[in-house]
Amino acid sequence: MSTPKPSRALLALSAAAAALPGYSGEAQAWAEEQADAGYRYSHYQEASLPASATNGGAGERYEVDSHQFHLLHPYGEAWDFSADLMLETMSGASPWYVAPGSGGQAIQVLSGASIQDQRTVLQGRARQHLEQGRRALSLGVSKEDDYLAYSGGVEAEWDFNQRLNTLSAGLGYSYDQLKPTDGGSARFPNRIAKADKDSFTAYAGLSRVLTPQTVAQLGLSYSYSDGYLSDPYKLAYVDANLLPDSRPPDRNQWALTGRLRHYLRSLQAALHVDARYYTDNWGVASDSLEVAWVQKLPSDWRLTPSLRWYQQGHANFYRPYYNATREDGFYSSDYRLSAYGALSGRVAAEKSWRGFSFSAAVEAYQSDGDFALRSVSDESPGLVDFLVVSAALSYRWSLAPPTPRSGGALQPEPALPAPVQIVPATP
Amino acid sequence: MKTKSLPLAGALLLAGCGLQPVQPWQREDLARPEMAWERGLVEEGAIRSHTYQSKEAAIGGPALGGGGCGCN
Amino acid sequence: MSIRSAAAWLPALGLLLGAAAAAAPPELGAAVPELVAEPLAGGAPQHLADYRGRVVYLDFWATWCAPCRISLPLLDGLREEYAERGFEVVGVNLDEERGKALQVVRQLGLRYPQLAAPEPASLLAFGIGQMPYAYLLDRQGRLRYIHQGFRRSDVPTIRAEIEKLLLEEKP
Repeated sequence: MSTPKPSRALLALSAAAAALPGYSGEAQAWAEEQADAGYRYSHYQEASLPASATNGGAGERYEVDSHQFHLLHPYGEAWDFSADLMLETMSGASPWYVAPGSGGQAIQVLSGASIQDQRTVLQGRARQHLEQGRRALSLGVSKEDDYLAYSGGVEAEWDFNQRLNTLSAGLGYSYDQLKPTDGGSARFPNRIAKADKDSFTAYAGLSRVLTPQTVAQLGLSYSYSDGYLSDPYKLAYVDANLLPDSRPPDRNQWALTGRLRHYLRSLQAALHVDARYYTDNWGVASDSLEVAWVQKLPSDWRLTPSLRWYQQGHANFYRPYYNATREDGFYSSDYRLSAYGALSGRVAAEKSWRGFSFSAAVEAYQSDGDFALRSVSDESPGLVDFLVVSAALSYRWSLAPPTPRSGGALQPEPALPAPVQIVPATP
Repeated sequence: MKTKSLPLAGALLLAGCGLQPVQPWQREDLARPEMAWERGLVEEGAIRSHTYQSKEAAIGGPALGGGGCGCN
Repeated sequence: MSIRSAAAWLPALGLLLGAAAAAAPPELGAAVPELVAEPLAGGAPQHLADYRGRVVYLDFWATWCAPCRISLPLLDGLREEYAERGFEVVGVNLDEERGKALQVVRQLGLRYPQLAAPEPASLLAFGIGQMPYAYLLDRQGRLRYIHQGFRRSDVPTIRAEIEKLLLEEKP
């Protein structure tokens, strides 16, 4: 009796049928008989602000180094468990407030001292596979020097209509606690010492196989946040005074998303289109559209160029700076609440070799009032341009038990069935 | 606004194709790794959306994004 | 503004919910539709009826289907175990590229007969609901059991169905 190792064909087959996180087909019906582990390094670097937009300083901005570790392991046929750890180091100067220049133009003032912070995020998920779907429970914790968040969620997917459709839904909750550095100190008496917020998220999505080469998905998500939603490190210039950044204590956010995947056989490539419309009760509305081209190449290479466009309108209480006080008392000059548009281009290359996959990617992001469809009159001087480079390595291995098989030469596939053997019907 | 009519145009285009139900054995192309909703290795989608969310006002999509950040 | 733009998405939602026309498989106990197909490795077409007199596990599979890859070596094991009592597995590969399927059959060392995909029109009559999809036929060629999808833990169920049919009187 020989017990052969899983053959190369089986491994090849595994690799081909694996990596189907989104497809609502039979390949997803039960837990995969394989595990995978991976690591990704990313470096995020913001471009310096032009001297004309700053208070004359160098305008050096943020940079972030991220290390991600991922592990997915099935347990039996019905369960799989995944764990994700992210370690980030952030450093650099951050936008502090915006003040009018001598000619009335908005000038971004950056925090003088370089910020140094570490961020650790640990997330775990247990997922159960069912006859017609999946359900999952996830828990996470995120920690920085001045910040702590606990989050949890439940998600479910249901395949129906001969698995042409998948309905997915999720509910999530997060409790975030802030303890700003130097909060309430003599140096920053206006900076809060401690604050927290609760966030609830719900989403639903419906996907549908439209043709043998096309699958589409529509999704709606809603998020409600309650608590301290301002930025404790930012100030607003209000009539020659510097007041703390102050935003409404609740926020309702809606997003409508559409995704499409289409395979072009003649080119061995897939077209990905992701669109989103977003609106919230702070008056921000945004659109985003991302188009990617996933090109399969010989020797298990894959090249993916993509282009993303984004635009948003400003929050109704946002101004680069304020010439008078507001009745509601809300002030923010955070560039994130400004009107602007952004374009980013990305290219990723991936190579698979046996159980290993390696990928490298670079993305350049540029934001500008001119990238928005509507003309932007009060653009923030602190808009970001950034570059991200990343590299990832992952390894996938089979957990299938070896198939016991008696020795002896393999019989060739019979061209025709052998004659019926006469065997007693009862033992 | 141009962007608002995009989904409608897309739907009409697809409806015009005269859709036949896709049989279970016709899903080879749909099962290809190039067709996955999420691209890339090691939670690539997660860190990309984390990056955008920390720089833009908008959030949301058909997934739960756990663990926010006190980004500044 | 936001309501108008949300309304623009509604037709897309209707499209996503269109129901699939489901072809139904034959009733249990009924004769199965005729199936004529070339062996995967090439040669003269074979008829499913040629296997009458044996209990047949007719397995529709494809290389790109993940549960299929779990099933193939296990079916080969069952076939080996029960062959001399009159059991046969007949694989029907539904890949579009025969070469890829043949390569998998050879590398896994599958010893049971493999047929290539028949005409799509004749496939419809089998009411295949998901992949893999299998018919268990008795010695008279009647459909007695349908197995949809595949898990490793399904083997005892399939084994029990095979043994039940092997114990039945021969025609």
